[in-house]
Amino acid sequence: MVEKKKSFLGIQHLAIQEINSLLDFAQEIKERTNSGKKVNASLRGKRIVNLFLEPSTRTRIAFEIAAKSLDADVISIAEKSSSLTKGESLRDTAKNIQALGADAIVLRHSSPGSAQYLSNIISVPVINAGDGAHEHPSQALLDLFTLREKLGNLNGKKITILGDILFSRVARSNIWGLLKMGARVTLSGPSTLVPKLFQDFGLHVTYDLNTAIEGADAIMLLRIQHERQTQTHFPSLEEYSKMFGLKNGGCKPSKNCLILHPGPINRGVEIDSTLADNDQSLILSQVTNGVNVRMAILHRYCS
Amino acid sequence: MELMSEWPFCIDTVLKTDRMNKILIKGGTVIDPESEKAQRRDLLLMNGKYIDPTKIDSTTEIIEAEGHYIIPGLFDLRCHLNQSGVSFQGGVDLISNKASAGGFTSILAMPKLSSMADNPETLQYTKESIINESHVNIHLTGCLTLGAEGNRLAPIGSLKETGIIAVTDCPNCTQNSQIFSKAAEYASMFNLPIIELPRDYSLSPDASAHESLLSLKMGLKGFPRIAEELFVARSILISKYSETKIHLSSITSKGSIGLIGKAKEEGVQITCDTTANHLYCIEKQIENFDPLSKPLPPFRESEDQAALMDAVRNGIIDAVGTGHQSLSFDDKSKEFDIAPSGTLGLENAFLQIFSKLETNTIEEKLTLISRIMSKKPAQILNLEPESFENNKLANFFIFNPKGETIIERKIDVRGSVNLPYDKQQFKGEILKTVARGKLIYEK
Repeated sequence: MVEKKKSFLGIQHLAIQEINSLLDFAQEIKERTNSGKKVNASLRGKRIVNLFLEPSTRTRIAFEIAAKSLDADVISIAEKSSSLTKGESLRDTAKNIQALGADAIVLRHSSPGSAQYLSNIISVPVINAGDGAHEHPSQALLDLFTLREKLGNLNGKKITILGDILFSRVARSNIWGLLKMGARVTLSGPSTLVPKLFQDFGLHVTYDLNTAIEGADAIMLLRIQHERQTQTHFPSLEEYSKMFGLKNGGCKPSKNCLILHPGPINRGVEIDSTLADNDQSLILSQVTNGVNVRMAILHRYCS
Repeated sequence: MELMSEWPFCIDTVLKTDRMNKILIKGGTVIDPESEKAQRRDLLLMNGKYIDPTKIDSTTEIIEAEGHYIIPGLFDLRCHLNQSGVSFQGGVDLISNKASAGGFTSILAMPKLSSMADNPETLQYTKESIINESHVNIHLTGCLTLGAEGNRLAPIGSLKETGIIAVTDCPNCTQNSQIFSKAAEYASMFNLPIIELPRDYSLSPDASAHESLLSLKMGLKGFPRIAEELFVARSILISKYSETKIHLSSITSKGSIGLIGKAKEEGVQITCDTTANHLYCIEKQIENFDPLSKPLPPFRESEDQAALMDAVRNGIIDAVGTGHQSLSFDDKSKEFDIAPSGTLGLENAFLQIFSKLETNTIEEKLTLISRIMSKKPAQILNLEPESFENNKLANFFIFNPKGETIIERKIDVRGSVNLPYDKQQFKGEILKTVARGKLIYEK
């Protein structure tokens, strides 16, 4: 009987000690890399399969680089090049990948709970790289990492998450992570995308952008997935930008307030280019840190 | 025979049905549906019919029922006969077996049969080839709209001539209010009740869970209470406007109870049921994304469950059904939001209600169950309820309240996969079921 290895499924059920330990480890990796030292090749001989069944640039590449940096053999599969297009179920695809000798599967899928579902089926670890609107735990860890780097202890810090919360896995994972770190979380955006019920998570919901950003230590912007929402959840991108977009001329965060965005950005909708590209913006730091954080995750769960 | 092998009692059944001449059920307590009272009395059956219990003779077979209850056969108001991976006939056999093991002797089949029941030919074929041969009484519904697609009225009058007793698009719900309203008027001309599983699709697109804090946490698209309540209100208003009988199936929301209660006070001809699974389970059942537990409609919150239970007691909910939909492991073993909705209910419904209902005495509880699961369903469909009167064909089951039953998923056994839970132990056991005068189940 092979012992089932632990999967990395979400932040909601991750202990704060585990979160801090992963962040500390990512910090160590970053320091070693920056000082030109080699990182321990802890995944040498391991096969990591990236099963990405939804489009992704940052996450997929970051996981690939992270795995390769740890000396793993990386195989990336996209939906269009897999037997899923021939009607094979996720269950069978994953079992076959395991039978081919995979040591871990990194899964991106549009169904909430799909990573957990897969972890019940196969015995190798499943790393959740985003499952529907449920969780995107590696993104939340890299966001926490980036915030911690700039703000230090997040306890008591006001962090505002702005935009499409309802359909966002990034928002959910960040909410869990930030609350565990003791941050004061505020959500804002159109009421149709930020249901009041979120308050029951133990955070603050406001539909007034000024209130949302006033005194915020950081604002996490979320991508407006306009392809499916402009008809039912808000009238138009122009109106969204007018009411909730961050811009130099209108509603503007204070100079000390940090700005994060998981990408891809809709420039001129969620944020003006002048703000997205200035010193307050941590958008590219997030991307860089994403590699270190994913190295920490892969090392901890797959080695 | 392949299917029989999964059900050992079937073979027994075949043997026993042939030699069932005079049988005395002795010493049991009979739950009489008419007087709604429990009476200790013997029942004598000859050729499947009740006769004067004093007319026993030396050939009479005696079934000791001391300490047991004789309960009128249960009547399920929502049962889906279609299932994949098995022939239609095989599916009906499996359902008959499940029904008989759960004390059901009659079921109302929803219109998805081997094909859609929107034409007389399908119904006639189904009736002649399968239904007439089944162990339990299977009553047929016809589609309200062609293909249950909600666009054009089905030939309801012609369907009535082939023997349907209600019209419905269940599990679909007709969204177009003009078509629904006209269908209600048209069907009432034939004295056919309309059954609706209320759901506004535009308020619950791609929904796979009750809209709540839990669905928000899980990132699942929600089926809010209002999506049900809005169409409950629509049915009430249409029933009132067109003076037609509408039955609302599988009510789950506490708000619906309020609306229906008020409508009943005003004398609107509205009736409703909920399912035994919704009285037994709440949304917590799906918190691990278990696709086998995914029902239709979704399990809601404990406050809804409490409101449903109150409504069962005070009569706002007329009946309790199962919504039985057998799905194979292959069908169900998918990502949660993609997996089809539907749970098993026939085998477990009675035991769940028996364990959940709180009453002062067992007799009180069984009387209430017999009202909501046997008498009322028949009355809603304009049928005569079961009775233990002489010359009536026997439909009943024998229940031992002191026994125990384990209900569990068996992934390798057809028709046993999608229980809402993995395994449950219940107080009480169903010992025997007699339908159409024949012993069809024996534990």
